[in-house]
Amino acid sequence: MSEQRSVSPSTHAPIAPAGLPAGATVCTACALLCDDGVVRPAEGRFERLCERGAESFRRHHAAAATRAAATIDGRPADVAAAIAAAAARLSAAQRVLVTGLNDLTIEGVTKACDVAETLGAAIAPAVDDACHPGGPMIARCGEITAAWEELRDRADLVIFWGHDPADSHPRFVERFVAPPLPFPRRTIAVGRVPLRIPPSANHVHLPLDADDDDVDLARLLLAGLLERPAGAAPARLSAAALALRSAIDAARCVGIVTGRPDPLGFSAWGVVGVVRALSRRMPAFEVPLYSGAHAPNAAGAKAVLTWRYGANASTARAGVAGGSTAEAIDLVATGAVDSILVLGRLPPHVDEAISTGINPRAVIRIAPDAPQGAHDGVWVACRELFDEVGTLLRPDGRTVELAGGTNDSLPSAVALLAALRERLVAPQMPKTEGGKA
Amino acid sequence: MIPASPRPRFVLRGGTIHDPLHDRDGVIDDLWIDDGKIVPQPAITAGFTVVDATGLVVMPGGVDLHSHIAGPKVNLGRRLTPSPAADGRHAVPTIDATGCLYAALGYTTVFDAAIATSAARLAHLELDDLPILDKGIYLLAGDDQRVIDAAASGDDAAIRRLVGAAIEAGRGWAVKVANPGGNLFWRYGRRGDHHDLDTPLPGLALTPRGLLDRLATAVDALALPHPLHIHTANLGLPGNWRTLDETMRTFDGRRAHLAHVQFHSYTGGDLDEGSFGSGVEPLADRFNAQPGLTLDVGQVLFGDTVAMTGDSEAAAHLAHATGVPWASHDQHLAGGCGVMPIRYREKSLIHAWQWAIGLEWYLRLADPWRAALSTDHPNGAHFLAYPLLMKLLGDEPFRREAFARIHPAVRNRSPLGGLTREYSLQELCILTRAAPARIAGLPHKGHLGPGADADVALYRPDADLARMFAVPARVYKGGDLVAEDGEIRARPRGAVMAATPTPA
Repeated sequence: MSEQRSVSPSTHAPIAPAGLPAGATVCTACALLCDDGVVRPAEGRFERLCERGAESFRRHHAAAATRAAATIDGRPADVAAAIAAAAARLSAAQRVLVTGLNDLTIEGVTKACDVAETLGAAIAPAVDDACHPGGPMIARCGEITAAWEELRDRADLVIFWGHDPADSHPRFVERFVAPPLPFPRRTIAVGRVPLRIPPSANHVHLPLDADDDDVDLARLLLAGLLERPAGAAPARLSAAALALRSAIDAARCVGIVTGRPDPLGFSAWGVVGVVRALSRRMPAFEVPLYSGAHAPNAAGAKAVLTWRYGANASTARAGVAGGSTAEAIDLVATGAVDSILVLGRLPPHVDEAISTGINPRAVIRIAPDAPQGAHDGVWVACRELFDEVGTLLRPDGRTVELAGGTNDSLPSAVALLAALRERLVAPQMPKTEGGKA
Repeated sequence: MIPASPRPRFVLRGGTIHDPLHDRDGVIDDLWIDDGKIVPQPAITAGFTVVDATGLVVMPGGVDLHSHIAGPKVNLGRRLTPSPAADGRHAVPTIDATGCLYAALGYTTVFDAAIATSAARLAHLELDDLPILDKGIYLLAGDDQRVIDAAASGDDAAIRRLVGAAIEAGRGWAVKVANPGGNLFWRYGRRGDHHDLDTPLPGLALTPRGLLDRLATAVDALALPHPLHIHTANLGLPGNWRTLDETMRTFDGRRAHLAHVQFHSYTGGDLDEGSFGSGVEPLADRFNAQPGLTLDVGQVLFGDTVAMTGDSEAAAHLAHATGVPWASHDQHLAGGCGVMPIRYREKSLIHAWQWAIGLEWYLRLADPWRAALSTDHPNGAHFLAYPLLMKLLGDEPFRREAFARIHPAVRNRSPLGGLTREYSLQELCILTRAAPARIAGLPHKGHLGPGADADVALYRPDADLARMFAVPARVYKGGDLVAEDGEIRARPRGAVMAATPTPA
């Protein structure tokens, strides 16, 4: 095999704020956590940002001056009173769910765990795990992954496996696939619909009739790679498998980008099998792109919950005994909880489930945005994630440091959670607001 | 802020003290503790609570200098094996359970032996959640491309600067190298070329041996407390005893620590199971003759566990050979890792050899002060199996019974059957406390002299060493009672130990 280009040492350095150019910041609009943008709102400059990222900064700076600090049942309140009310309502609940988590720093998630353990609450990030294979699948079939920079710097064949990152991770292609290699890079998209924007000049779309056809395609491709009988298959799929095989044979390093909804994990299983077979022959890896939108630090939340509870959720009761994988939305939908502590923004479907499934007064939010419209419950404003100081984790395992923004007029989520926990463990903690029985 | 409560002052009265550093071997004496430290008997003893230790064996808290407890690959291990093993315990416990289980076992200090520099911050965030134990990390600073380039150009000053900066920024205790330069062979698509220490790294005028040499020089120049921690090349491969032998030769007259030597002590070649065997005898002879070297064994014990390593080449080889679910990340690069479940079986030829080779290493050591008991948790076995390992070392009839159950080919060929040595309690105390503390560079740990941290474990004497060491009667960490008969009594925050590089 011919020699590969070496990966730049900077690939493995943490992305430190000290290395950012003046005016640059970390964009937290999605899990890409782009750190190469320039944000100068006073000058109206929002450069190297996707639309979603630019909008998040614009909205934040426009709203900063008029934002309330907290509300109790829709009425403005000071932060201390709101924290006291939140503590009282959470303490009075029978069963609390702590959720959100995906736009907290890692330091914030650990504080959220402390609060959940104090309450004996369930804790689960508000990510739609049903859309991707998640924890149980890795135990059954493994996972062979790499940093996005490895894809950028080495993969001369990138296969988009049923997933277009344009929505979930808008600048992924621009940052990690479009940059040129010293040798030609081919891209192939496998899926029902073509990619919105072809990621390379040398791009091919292999159309499938249905999303799930990629499972059969993986089987055919694997059989070819292992030189085993493939069994019967539609001609179109066989032709696609042959085309992939041909491209793979000509490649030096293969990256397979995944991320389509895959609740049963069959697609993931197939891709892992292919990557594993490929990895015997050449550098090959999967780049899973799940939980992009609404979940900039989903990987960080999952990491903390895994080291705390051994799973990406603790549903029986947050505590040292460990936990199990579960969906926040399921706990709401099944009536398993009667109060919720929401930390950060929620995906719309989870927000909707909460609004219909929980007594509004028992919903406590610590989040940058006030709830829409008139609302009961308690809301305490915290900084936007990009204004925090702390650590984030990209889904590919790279840490990203946040150095704090220019707007520190709002408290950090970490400070609010510390205050809430202090209130919860105070010996005179009343069971209801105002201390009335 | 809650004010710190006053540290306890007490005397452990009448215990049977094992303190190898001070040549106290089963001496009945008192142990005075004040403000988290062991102190000489004070002139005025008023204010000291008396704790009866009569009939109990008193040892320093255990020190595990080579374990894997935090960081991305450990979390990957948790995700890969979410269910408890057949014996009911998780192969990779949560960070909280890790601290509590170690403490309940009588251990009070632990090091994670392989953290990529880029993962140091994440590992420290996780270690913040580790209760009770004092802890530190070894950084894989030698994997950094800039360090390798500096080594290739012979720029020792640059290596010192880069390694020192990595230790400071990553709050590391030591420098670990895992398969020196191995990821470069992978990166350049030449994974099969990495057979020895003298094949030049792709595109560089540098060999793995040269990299080891220069890294060790930098570690010594920076006066780090622990020598270069070496996981040498060819882990797990038949015939790799020669690589370990060459590694030792590289450090003739110098200090270096050899990690999990069991996995590097195999005879045979060409993946021929029939020729697989033990290379321990010549290796132990060389080790015993080179006083600058220290080691941990990485003992394999039978049962379910998880293999995890920063040596992606070894992980991929094992994954392809076994076909088990394999999780890896950045397998060709610095900071890469591979993780997979593994079940060590008595009747497996290879596993039985691994078990026997590890024990043979312990039994051939001339000086237990140069070795640390380890299973390379969780690679060879869970740390909860340490009491069983201590029984295997200290109870020859028990070892013989176990030996009789393993694969017959190993029974016939392993020298283990002819080794009758039994470790005494004092020697087991050296292997698990005094020696690892000294090797790790912890002058305040591993002994019970004045000035030592009051990390103390009290055991009930028992002819069954596994039973004796599995459940200490009491464990003190910094003078606080943290465990009693297997129950956690307090959860103080342990200290993070970070070295301060001091370039000469």
